[in-house]
Amino acid sequence: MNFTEYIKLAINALRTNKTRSLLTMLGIIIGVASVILLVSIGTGLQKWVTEQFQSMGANTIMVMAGDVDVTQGPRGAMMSASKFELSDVADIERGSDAIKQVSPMVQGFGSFSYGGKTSSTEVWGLWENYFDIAKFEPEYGRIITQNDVERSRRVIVLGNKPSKDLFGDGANPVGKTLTLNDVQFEIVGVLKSKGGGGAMGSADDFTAIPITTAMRQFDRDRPFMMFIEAIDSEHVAQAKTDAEKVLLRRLEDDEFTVLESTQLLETITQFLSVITAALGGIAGISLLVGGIGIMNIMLVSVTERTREIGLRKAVGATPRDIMMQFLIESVILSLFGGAIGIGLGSLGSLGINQFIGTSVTLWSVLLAFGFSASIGIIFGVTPAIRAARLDPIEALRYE
Amino acid sequence: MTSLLSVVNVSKVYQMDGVVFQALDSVSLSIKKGEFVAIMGPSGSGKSTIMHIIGCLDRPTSGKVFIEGKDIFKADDQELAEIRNTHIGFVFQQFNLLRKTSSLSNVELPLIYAKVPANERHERAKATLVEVGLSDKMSNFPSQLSGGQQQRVAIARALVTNPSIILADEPTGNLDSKSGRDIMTIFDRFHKAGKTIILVTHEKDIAKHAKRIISLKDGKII
Ligand SMILES: Nc1ncnc2c1ncn2[C@@H]1O[C@H](COP(=O)(O)OP(=O)(O)OP(=O)(O)O)[C@@H](O)[C@H]1O
Ligand SMILES: [Mg+2]
Repeated sequence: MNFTEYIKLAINALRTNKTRSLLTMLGIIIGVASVILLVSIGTGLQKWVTEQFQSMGANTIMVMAGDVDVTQGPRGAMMSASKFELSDVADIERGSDAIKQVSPMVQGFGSFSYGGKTSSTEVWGLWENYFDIAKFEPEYGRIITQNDVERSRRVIVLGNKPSKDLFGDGANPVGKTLTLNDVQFEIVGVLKSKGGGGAMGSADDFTAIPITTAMRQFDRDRPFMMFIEAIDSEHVAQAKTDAEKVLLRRLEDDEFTVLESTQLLETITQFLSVITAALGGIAGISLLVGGIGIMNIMLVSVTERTREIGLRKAVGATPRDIMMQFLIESVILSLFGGAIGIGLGSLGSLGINQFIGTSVTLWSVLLAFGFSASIGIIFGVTPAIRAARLDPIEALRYE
Repeated sequence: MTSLLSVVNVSKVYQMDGVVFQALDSVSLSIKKGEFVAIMGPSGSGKSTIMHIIGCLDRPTSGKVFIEGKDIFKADDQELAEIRNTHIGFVFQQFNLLRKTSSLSNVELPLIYAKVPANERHERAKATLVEVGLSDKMSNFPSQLSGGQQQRVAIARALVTNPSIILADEPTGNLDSKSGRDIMTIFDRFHKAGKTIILVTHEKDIAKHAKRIISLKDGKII
């Protein structure tokens, strides 16, 4: 008996018991669909986080004071006193071909008030080039310019969130004057929102003033940290080593930390991929339960069709013929169920896509398909062997 | 003429919970090509047992069976299945047709295992159904056929491979006398056409159709 005959036979048998075939497939359908769905949610999350980082500037390197633990993020640096000099900025920039630009930053905290309303957030003293490195653009007005820096102007650019807090959604406060820690500042711009969180907490929750103004305001004589932009993503690693080399000429190993944003990204995506695998594993268990369902039904089917098996043997079916008949039945059940499950899972993922960006990956589809095929074989073998071993006389006598 | 089938000193012993029961006791017989033989005997005398052994559905405890000179005692399960497929056509008392399967597909079944291509299978099954007078019932399911018609489908299934021996174990046992006579007319016709037939029956009227009668009692030929 050849392969097409086996398949015809199996499809015929499954068709004569439509309801049962469908119910048996249900286990596989649900299992495969949940694997596809959960894995797509996990991969979607990973993609989203990566995009967030890229919007921060994927080629950015941060130089922080002290010995910073990567997993704690940049906030771990705030405990250490800075040993940086403004001259380091030029030294680093000159010290490497892999570096496009460097920007220093002085950080402080500010209480704002405008027309009776108050708010508080971080105040960053910056150069103009920071906005280029971190890819911030103004929604209204302009950014801090080098001219502002040179003249230590009391001008301020608001992040999207503090602007919203003080002036309401969509309002344009450019030209107004607010008080920052009892000193008057003119609002010259509001930044476009980046949404969500980034390496520095919410990307929108800060205000920017010229670095020179900030040094006077917060009584600092050193930059708190530095941002480095590599010429492209391939040169990030080199830019990092070069910056380290330059700083080591003047500072001790534990007085600064050079941190690629990709390092942080790796930590987070690693964590997310563990979660994705765990979700997939849980869904895999339901796939296993579906497989056991197939075995159960195939065993019932063998018992029910004992006389049929006896008759087939009597007219010349070999043990192999009988074995293949039942094995192919269970493989078709699981493959068909797998295909429906992939369809449903992808549909569900498309539905969820409206809330979080999900993506059905080829590997999860292939995995689900391979898994259901193996389930068909593994859980079909026992019933098939039992059928093949039946004694023809006893099978024919079976009531 | 050499014998198509020879059974030499065949015994069959059943053992159940330590109780030993000898269903066949050194049975020897020989059947020539084209013979029509009836096996008779009281219930429990071993008629079905010897038929199953001849039909390669069961193995003897001791003794030898030769079909066309081939010793089937030495054959493994795979080879026995092939012998059943090519040399034997079995007709059962209970018809044993596949449910929810048309007459035509039922008759085609042995040809599937003989690896006959689909077209030829249909043609041969149709022709055989015509021979047993069921040209108008090809697409009927067994549940839509009378007992006599079902047995004729079963006979067509036994004949479609053109086997060396047709074995029929009480083929009329479940039928009324009119249907039984119809079945026997078919066997007569195939016998005249040169087929070898071995038939088990209780009824003298049925046995009369055969040219030779073998009587069994308590597992022995008498
Ligand atoms: N699997 C078995 N285990 C134990 N004993 C068996 C088995 N099969 C048959 N027998 C015994 O062997 C004897 C012969 O059985 P067999 O079926 O050959 O009788 P039979 O002549 O065909 O009878 P009937 O006319 O009623 O069909 C019986 O006594 C039966 O009980
Ligand atoms: Mg009997």
